[in-house]
Amino acid sequence: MTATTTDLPVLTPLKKQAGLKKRPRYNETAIRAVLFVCAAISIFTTLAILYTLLNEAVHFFTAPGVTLSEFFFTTTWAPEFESYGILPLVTATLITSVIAVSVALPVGLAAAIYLSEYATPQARGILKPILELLVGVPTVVFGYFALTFVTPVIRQIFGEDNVQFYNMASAGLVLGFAVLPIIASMSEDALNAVPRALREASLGLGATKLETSLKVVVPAALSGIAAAVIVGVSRAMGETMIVLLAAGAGPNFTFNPFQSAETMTGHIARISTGDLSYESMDYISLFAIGLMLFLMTLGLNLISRWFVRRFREVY
Amino acid sequence: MVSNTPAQAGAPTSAHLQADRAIRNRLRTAASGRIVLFLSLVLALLVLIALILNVVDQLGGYVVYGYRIDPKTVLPARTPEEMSEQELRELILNHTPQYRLEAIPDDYGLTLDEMDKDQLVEVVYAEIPDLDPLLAARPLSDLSNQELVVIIEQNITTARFAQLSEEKPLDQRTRQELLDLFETEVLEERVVNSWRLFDSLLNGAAIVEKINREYPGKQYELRWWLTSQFVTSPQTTRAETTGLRTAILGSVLIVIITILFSMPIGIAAGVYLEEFAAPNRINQFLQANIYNLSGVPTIIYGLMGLAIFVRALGDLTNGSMFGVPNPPPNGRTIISAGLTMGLLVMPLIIINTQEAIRAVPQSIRDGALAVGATYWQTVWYHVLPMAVPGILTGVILAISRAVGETAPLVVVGAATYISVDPSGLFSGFTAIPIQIWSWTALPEQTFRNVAAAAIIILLSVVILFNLTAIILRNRLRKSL
Repeated sequence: MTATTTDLPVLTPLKKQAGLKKRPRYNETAIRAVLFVCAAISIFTTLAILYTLLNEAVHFFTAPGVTLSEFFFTTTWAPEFESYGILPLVTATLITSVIAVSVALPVGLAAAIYLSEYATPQARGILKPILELLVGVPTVVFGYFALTFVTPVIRQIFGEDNVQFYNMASAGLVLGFAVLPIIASMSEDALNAVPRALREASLGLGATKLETSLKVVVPAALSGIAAAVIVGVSRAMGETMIVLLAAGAGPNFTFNPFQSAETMTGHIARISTGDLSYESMDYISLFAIGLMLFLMTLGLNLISRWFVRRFREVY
Repeated sequence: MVSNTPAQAGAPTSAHLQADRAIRNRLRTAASGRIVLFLSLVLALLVLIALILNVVDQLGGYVVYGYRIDPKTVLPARTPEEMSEQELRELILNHTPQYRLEAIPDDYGLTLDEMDKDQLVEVVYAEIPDLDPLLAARPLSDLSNQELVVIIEQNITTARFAQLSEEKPLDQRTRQELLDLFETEVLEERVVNSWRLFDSLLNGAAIVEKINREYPGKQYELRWWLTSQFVTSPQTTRAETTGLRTAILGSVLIVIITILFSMPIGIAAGVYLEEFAAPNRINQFLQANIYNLSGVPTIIYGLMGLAIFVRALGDLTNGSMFGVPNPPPNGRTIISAGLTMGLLVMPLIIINTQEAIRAVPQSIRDGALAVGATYWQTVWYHVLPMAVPGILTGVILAISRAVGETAPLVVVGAATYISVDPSGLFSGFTAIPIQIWSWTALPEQTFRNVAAAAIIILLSVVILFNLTAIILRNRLRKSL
């Protein structure tokens, strides 16, 4: 505003007086720039993750005695003897994750169907928060549960001779309940997004509610459910504390879930607790494993997002 | 099929019966299906209950105490001069060879019963060949306070003695305090056997009977592991005396840094993406990147923190660049942990901020802009205040996440044993979940008990935060 506005008798041209010409607002621009920088920090995080993983992984793969084919195709991981085959860590990760999802998928999906198709709003208001509380339980507490409760039970059922004290079955089972809430809540979102008309048409033709749910709603939400399962696998693969406590310390190439075997995350956590020299193969090999884990989970997350996008296009 | 048979009289044909049966079957399947679906939800609830009960079960119970060190080896022996006549007679009767016993009245001219104390002492020294191991330790009640202090000082390390003296000089302590100190520090009183809580409550009498049978004379009690002493005392190497104080302080400091770092940046990023970002490629990329970051395994954040905050910026994060006296040798400090955790929870805060802002009705923005507010004024004075509860939900969830997250701290270099309180942002640290992990990983049952006590503390904090967030969000959904 100009000073002339106080001077009433003098009429200045309206355009000058109100300043209708667009003025640059420096404050606004500055604030906008600051906000953009804050948003861009997430990019720096990604770059920092990629840079550290790649940088050390390159050191690892260019080190004498390490070859890509050895890394991917041999079955012994023992840095102290210079054998770097990542397969035992990968198989342990996959086995625990598969056990986890085979628990979490049926239970989580059934819970999601009940919440979305059957539960009254009041019941939902009570049941949903309970599932959300399960999300909040720190995974180290799940690890304690696996080691002190589930492991003894499994050993009692299958015999102590058949089941080792540290075993993948116990870790995978508890891991399943840790990823159950995310599978349930993503599946429920997918089920809720199915148009009401489909349900009404099915019920109108005389189908029971169960038939409608299982044969109409679930197939319609299938890609969303698939996305939920993939995210579940990715979470299970990236989880550390449960497998660190319950699955065992030491890489072991086995497909028997009752044996102990170390996963990728468990190995990274166990090795990094020791006093590591920054130049040692122990240290840089962690980043090679980390890169592998990062790429695997990132791939799964991208596939899952692709599923969700495709699903959105249908309706 | 029998479809050509007319059913004019309304009598049920076999086709009717068949259809009827089919419908009944379908309805039955539908009813049992519903139950199965409900039960799977109940299963999730049961797991939560089992998890909590399993922890509570280890929270207390009967324990039997024993000493790692035999008191005889520490306490000074009683000399024969300090014993009563009766004790001296028993000593002689029990430990003198039979032929010598028979010879005593001849040699000394008196039977044992007729001797006075000095003569008995003389006999003890003369007749019992290997006397030293036979002498009983002096009972604690005989010892003066000064003597106790000397014994304690002789039997623990000088460092520990200095530490104890610093807490409270030993000669100023009461008798009871000294006796407790003697038991815990010198004799290393420890639990030799323990029972679970529910077992102890239900079969208490049987357990007490068993203790009396198998551990005669040993001290036992129904012990609780979650005590105020556990919460307030620093960490020690023994489950019976260890405490969570160091870890609680570490967790609190880490969470403060995490929130101070990630809250302003996360909220600002959320505001930018929701209110200012034009739908161009850069911003779409930013958005996709944030979603991907929220799915990165937490241990990868730990590796990044290790490589960047601990190693590359080590001089910064151990405080040596700020002139902190006696900086730790590397960057494995609270500030490194807090920054790593801050980056980890940032996507959570951003996404929740975005959702909260998206829920603010467009009419609010239009109204503000129409009366001449700038974009920033609209956001600051109108949109943000309405979004506060939603943003707060995100921040609370982030705090709860930061409290319970363990893996990145393990990698960044939390110490599993630190007995001194953190002195500031540049000191080494431990945290509650780290302690739970390291105690659980130990083989002794007593450390499982201690871990259970720590879990109860952690779970109550986390559940309290999450419940607040859930309630806040539900109320918000109703009000908008």
